[in-house]
Amino acid sequence: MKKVFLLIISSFIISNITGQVEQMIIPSDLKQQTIITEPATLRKGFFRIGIVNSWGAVDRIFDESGKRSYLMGSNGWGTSWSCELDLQYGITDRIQVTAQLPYKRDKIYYAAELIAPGYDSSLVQYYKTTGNGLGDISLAASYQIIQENERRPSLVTKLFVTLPTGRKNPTNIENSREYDMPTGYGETTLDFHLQARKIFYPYSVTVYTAYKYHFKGEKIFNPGEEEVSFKSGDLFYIGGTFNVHLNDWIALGNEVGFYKWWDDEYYGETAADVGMTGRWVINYQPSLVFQIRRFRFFEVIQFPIFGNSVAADPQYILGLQYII
Amino acid sequence: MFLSKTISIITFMKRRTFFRPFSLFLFLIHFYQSPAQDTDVYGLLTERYVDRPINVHRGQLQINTGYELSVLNKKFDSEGKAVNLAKDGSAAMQHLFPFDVRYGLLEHLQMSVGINYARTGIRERNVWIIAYDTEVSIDELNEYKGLDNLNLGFLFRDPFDFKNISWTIRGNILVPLFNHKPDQPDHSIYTAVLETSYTQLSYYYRNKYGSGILTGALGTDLKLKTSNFSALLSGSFSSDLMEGTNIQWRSNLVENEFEYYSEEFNYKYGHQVEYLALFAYQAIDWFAVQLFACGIYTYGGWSEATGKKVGNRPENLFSGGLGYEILASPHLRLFQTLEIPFLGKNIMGSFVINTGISLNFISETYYNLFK
Amino acid sequence: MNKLINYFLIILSCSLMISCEEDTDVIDPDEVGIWKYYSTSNGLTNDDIRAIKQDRSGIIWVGTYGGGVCKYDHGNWSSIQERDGLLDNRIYSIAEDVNGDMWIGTAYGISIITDDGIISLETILDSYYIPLSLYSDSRGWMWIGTTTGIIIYDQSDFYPVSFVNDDFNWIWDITEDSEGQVWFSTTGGAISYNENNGLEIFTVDDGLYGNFVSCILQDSRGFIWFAHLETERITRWDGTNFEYINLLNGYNYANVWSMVEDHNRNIWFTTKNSGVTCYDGVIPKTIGIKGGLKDYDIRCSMVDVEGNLWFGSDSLGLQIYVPE
Repeated sequence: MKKVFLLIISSFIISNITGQVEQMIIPSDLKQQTIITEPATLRKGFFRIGIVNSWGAVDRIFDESGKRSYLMGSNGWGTSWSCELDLQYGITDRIQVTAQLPYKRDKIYYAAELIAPGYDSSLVQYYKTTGNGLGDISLAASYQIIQENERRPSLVTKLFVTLPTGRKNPTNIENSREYDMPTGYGETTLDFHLQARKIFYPYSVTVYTAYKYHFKGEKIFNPGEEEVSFKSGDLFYIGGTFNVHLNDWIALGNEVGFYKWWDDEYYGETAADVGMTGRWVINYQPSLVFQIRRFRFFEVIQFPIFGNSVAADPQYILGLQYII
Repeated sequence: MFLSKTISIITFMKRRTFFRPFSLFLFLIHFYQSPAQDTDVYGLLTERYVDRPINVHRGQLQINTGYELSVLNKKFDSEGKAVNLAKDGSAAMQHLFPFDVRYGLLEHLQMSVGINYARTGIRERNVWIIAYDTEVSIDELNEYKGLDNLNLGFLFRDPFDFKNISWTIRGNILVPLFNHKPDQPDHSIYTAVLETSYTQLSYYYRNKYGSGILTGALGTDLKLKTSNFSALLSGSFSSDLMEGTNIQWRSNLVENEFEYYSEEFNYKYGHQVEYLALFAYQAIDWFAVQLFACGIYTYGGWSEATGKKVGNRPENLFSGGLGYEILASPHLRLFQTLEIPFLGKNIMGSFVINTGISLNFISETYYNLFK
Repeated sequence: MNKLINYFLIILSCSLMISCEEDTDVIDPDEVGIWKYYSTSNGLTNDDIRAIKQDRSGIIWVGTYGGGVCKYDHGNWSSIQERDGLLDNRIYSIAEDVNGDMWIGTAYGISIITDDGIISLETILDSYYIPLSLYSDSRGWMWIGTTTGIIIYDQSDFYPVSFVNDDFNWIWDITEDSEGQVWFSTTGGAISYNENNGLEIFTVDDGLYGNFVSCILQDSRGFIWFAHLETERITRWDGTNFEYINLLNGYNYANVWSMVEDHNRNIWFTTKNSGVTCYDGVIPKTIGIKGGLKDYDIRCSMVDVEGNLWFGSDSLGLQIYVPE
């Protein structure tokens, strides 16, 4: 149950892509440009602040045969919510820096009725494992290699660094099912991202690809154990978006992405030895972006369509941004 | 099984606004004719939410679809007390995909056909039996999946065309076209013998979503409106028109292998009364917000699943919520609602997020034919 | 078109009105899944119950150890005791013969209750006996299980059968399977009788889990169950293979007194120490005092024609369960 929960939490990383939500254009004010028409990086001196909320439940997974199935053998249920402060600043028209500060709130519920017929008694035990607190902070620098014009698309490269600022080990351990879960992954990652975008007003098309490298880390995986070294499997992803202005205030986005993880290494064994192999997922993310002046509100639903050994339930993402 | 019918009827009853921005539908925007060609049709398609009649206009084809996520994390017991299912580890999610098509035969007459596809898996609390030298762990999953009954309906609006008030009478038949009988279960057992014997037993029941009973419904709506506000009051009564037949799967464990057999039984869901009060405010010409309260009361019905004709317990649920609609284009409306259960008895209460789109087209030829 | 719609609505309204007619014979859901209790305070003459039987007219006969036999006739209790003509107030067994007469096995012999009075069988073939069990088979024969073997009554004469091994002479229970084979539960094993093979003995050497067989039952699926005292498991036989079922009642001994099958094909085992255990074909679930019983020592049981389960306890009277 916990491993799967970790898989599901990892899928929230994918939601960072919603930072590319479309904008709305009122040409008279560059700060009111929409996701369709704004440049690929913030203009010089522009500062955007945003709050992004993500929520999902732990209900089903794609099993090793790719079928959506329920977790059997352990009846438990969980939810995951995160609220991320998103800060973006344009140093120049081509260079933008980003900081993402997440706050996480994860819960896993489990209950068992213990029946002892020899004593004619039964007892219901409730367990709730929570993980509240600051997550791993991400810092990014984006550089627009090619600026878009009528003939050519823009090409942007980004480098994300995620630092293990979140709590990496379980704390307040009362028993194997009651403790405070980690809020961070306990590892540093480097995410190299390449994106091309072209506007065909009122449409825009984006394609992107990225590779995320995980450095080795050390953490406690299960309560009561010692810290062990590990390396999470690197992640490769590729995808594209197709967005359209419906009117001056509303833009619709559609994104399809393919994500592939390499095998994790735990306790010196690869994930292949412990049964977690071949993780991948194809997501479809429709989004609605609603912009009035400098305020941008967006809603995204992330649907896992196909996958293997990953979460199979949709996530809801709501965000609010303001550009100064 | 009862839960599925309850949810499906709520889905049918509510005046939802959908939001589901599939890229495929965007192409349909180009089918819209420019406003200068036919002001009447354009005007009808871009009517504000509060001004719109309850039914679709003459010659108007409306296609509604979307996605409804229900978080089944609460249930109300026989005394009306809310029980937290998440705490039990037995909460669930329901994914429902509604689809319905409405057509305006006349200005005051609408026909509709609709269907839902849904899927949910409801877990039971884990049970551990600790006997003398044996421990048994039991999990149970009840999955409900499939197509609901086909919903055919007619709606008749009053012909008086008062400016600020209108009412309708509607009738619906829910036809059980699809298989509602559950598939054979897929239980599993694992036994390990060490110092004590340990057995892991997992029950997996594979039920269908549809009710399997021909159901009829009669309802009425009353809509009042002012310049920027409207209020809609709806009520309906539905009942099974005949008994249903279903099967119940039983299992035997013989030499650590499951053997299954089914037994038929009759049942009826009984009668259901539904009501809705919805208040809308037109904030901008293309954006409206809604506040609503709705409820259902179910009574009657029985089941012979246990061999005896045992009556169903009456159920009721009262919920409330809010929503919005965006008129994205003359042909495309996006909407979303959020529903929260407040009170209930003997029923599951779920937190529902409904997102969808509504595509609208008017045939000029048909529209002008009756002008 | 309007007319058609009007007709449709009228037909629908009429159909709904017809469907609103109240269904008859519907049981209130609050009247199932409940327990009822009878003791000396509300009808019984003694709280030590040893036998329960329902005759063809629906009257329930309850044999007590010290209070004679009590009759439950549509809500009314009455009793027949030694003062009324019974040989003794200590009852071991009850059976109904082909003529509708009730055979009551007492500590001093059998009293046959007929419409014309009570016939006493203090001795059979000039021998005293203790009728531990009684059974009327499909041939019309009455089988009498005693502490000294079997006595067969074929409506004209009595025929005694006894065994060299005295363990086989204690006949605790008698039943008949669907093929007309009569089964005897004895201290030394199980004995079957049919015309073709005569008497056949089953012991641990043949596959039983234990030699002490307290009762035998053939269920609706065709399995033959052999319940034991002082063993960990009970035996289930499909005609070819023996399987041993753990009743999971929390004790190292199952100690089953009696078995019945309810209308939902669940097998109910009454035990000496842990109340009753319901076996649904997969998992046994034990019900004790916290589940609704009054006593853990349940000596006998019966399912009436309405599907209610009657349990007779060692010292606390009758407990009747109305299943859900």
